[in-house]
Amino acid sequence: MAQKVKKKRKPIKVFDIVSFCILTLLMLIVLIPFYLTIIQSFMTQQEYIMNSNTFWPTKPTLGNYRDIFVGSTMVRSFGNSVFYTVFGVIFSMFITTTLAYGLAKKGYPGRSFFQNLAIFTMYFGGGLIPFFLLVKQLGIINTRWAIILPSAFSVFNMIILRNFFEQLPPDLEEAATLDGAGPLRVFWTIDLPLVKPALATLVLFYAVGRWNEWFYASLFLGNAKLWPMQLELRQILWSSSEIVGNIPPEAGRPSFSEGLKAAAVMVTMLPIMLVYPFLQRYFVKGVMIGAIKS
Amino acid sequence: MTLIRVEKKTVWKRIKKNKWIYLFLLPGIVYLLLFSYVPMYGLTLAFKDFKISAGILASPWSDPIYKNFVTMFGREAFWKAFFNTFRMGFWYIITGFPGPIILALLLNELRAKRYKKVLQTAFTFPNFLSWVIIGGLMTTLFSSEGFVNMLIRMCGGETYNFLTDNNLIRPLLYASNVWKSVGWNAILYLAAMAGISPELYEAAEVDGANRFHKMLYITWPGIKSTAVILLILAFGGIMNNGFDQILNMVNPVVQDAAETMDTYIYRKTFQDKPNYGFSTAMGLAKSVINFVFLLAANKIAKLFGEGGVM
Repeated sequence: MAQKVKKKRKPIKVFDIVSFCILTLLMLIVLIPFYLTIIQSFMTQQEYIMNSNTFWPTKPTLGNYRDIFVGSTMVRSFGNSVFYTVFGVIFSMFITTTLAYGLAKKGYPGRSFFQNLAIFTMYFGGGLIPFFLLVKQLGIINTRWAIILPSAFSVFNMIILRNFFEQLPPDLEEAATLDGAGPLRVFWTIDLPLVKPALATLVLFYAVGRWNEWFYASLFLGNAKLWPMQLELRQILWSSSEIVGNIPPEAGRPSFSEGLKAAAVMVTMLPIMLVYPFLQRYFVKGVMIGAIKS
Repeated sequence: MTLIRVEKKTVWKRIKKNKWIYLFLLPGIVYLLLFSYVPMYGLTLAFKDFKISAGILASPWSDPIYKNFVTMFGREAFWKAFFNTFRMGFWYIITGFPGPIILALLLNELRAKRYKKVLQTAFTFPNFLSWVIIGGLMTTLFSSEGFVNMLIRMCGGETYNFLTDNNLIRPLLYASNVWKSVGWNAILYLAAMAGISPELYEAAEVDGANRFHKMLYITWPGIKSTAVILLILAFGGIMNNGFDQILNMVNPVVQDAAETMDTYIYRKTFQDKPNYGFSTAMGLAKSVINFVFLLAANKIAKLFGEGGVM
């Protein structure tokens, strides 16, 4: 406080105003697509086509949202996405945490071997086709396992967490061991709570990744009942839009109004939109520790 | 003899003593072996004639063994995708690199700290959206009924279909990539700037330095190593740009203009009649090139004293 009083307030210069304006303009560029999509989601198809002014709807309607929530497959896929996100994150965190903890321990034979085994996969991989064939041969195609199991693990996240475990002071552990606590107990009641902030960050990153996943779902899930929301949304967006070059929709596939597409985008985006402003600092913390470590 | 035996015994003892650690390693290692190393073994498919009934193991080796590669190198489409991957990768880096630095410099100079937080939230948000969603947002902007065309019409111009223009699709990809990631990538630079000692700035002020002097002689040297390493790493990943994005923003009309090795493999396998041997050969070629680039990037980063990514 004292420092603040002591410091003289610098006068506002031209540069301050210019940079303020530039940044505000940039923010508008970032936000405009969102605003337009929100507006569009309240438009009927007729209004969208007739109205040359897409900046404000003349007759806002909730019809598109009603179409999404009543009798459409969006609700089902929303449930699927929640399922994949929750159980996918649990599974991802399980393998990430156990491996990170094991590699953080020192002085056992094979440590560097296992570590290199993990790190090598960051540099080289079998690529898409062998991976696809593997999942096919495992017989989990067209089941929920095909989304939960493959692509569950990020070596990068594991290394970050390992660094956290490595930095824990050994005294606590030693004291607990002397008191007769087993390794599992030490892990669960002492070490894990100490890295909680790192765990929270990893959960967020995994959760966002899971929520946004559509690619493997499109490869592994022919059964639309199992589709996550992103894939459902993609199907709606690509049904007959200009993004596919005005090619008429495939026979038997419904075409959707632009308003409904926008509403579908909004609904898919909503969970992240609601959560992000409050959890932003955890994401930021995550990228910082990642940056320092790598 | 005895020496070796003693050694063995202690290793065994150490394993036994730490057996619970191996228990911790088990799930992760099994997972990696299954989902990372088995597919690596699956790369042998590049040298085989894949028969679905036989699976990867029992499929016969091709004759000659490099048959799939001969087919691959003989295809014009492969070479097109190959060169386009580098061309687009290069432009992804060129367009993606300076933005975060400029944004971070501007944000760092901003006096209103509250507003800075608001801005940062807005700028970083798109990074957490899927390309499916961003594909939708970009259509809203650029389709013939979209916002940009509305502006053009308001100014008396003609409607133009941006999304089906072969020359515009790549710039659109680069631009939307910047739009999505610039705020997030700026965070690394802001972190580096936060690490610069304020005393340096104060000393410079005493010496009569103005804002641009400070930026040039204090801030820039403070973030230069971050910039260098990010640039090197970006070149290490030059083969991997845009796959997800292209699948969600590029329509069949302009598909050829934005074809990379990834998208070529994908389309060949999942949209044409699949020839898994051929696709795997192409995937292997890509993996090897990628590996070399990563190693080189890592090496160069180490030369700059940044410790690389390992």
